[in-house]
Amino acid sequence: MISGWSLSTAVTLPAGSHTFATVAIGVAVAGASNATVSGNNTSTNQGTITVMIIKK
Amino acid sequence: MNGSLALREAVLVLTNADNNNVAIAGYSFFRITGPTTSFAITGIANGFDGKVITLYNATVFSLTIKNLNPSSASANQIKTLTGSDLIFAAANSSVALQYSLSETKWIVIAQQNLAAQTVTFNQSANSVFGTAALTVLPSTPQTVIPGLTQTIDVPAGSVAYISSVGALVTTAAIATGFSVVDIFLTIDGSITANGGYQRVYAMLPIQLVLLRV
Repeated sequence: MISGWSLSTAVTLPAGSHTFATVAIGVAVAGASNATVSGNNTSTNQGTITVMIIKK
Repeated sequence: MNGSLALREAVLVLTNADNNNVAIAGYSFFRITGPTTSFAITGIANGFDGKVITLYNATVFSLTIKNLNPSSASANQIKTLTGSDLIFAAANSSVALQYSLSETKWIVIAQQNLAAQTVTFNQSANSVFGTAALTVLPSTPQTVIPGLTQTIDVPAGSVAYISSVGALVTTAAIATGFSVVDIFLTIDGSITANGGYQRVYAMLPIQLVLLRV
């Protein structure tokens, strides 16, 4: 069964180059199996990250 | 005063490019001629307390009034009051100035036919997409999901709005198998303080059937 994530936040940053990313970390719970996260454009799991820069 | 005010016209011959420390005679209304391409005024000589002048650009070439430009002597410089140069349209235009004794500068008090300004908002929006699946073990440390990263030059005084969506599945082979993965947003490798974290549980569809029973 597919489980999804949906994250968003707004931050004020100092001027300059910044790198934005979505990362995954495995959680060591007893009995947990591996997971397949995201995928390419042929996968229904494909993730995306959008960054909007808004001038105040 | 009972009567009319008349400021007699004088011709002011300028040249192409910058005109520094422009000498003006004892008049207050000047008709600019001479340039055959865009030109500029960086300063005007002969200012004195309260003197008012109107410059009428009779050419069809763009006039620029340069703000506090050091090509002219300090006492001859012009304050446009915008902090920037005033660029007029490539057509007839006019600008009125008055000399401030306390600031020893010419002050722009009126203008007509400024060039259309190009406003750069420095705003943008960009999406990137997953390029491959990532296998996450229970012991997998912080790993960027393939394709879900982008580097942007953020201008001063801006807010960055970041959003991410996607999905994962468990690779468990048994009916009661499951996976747990933490998904984060990061900026320059650091996890965001708020709003950028979800713990996602994935299980096999058979477990939904078991839950319904």
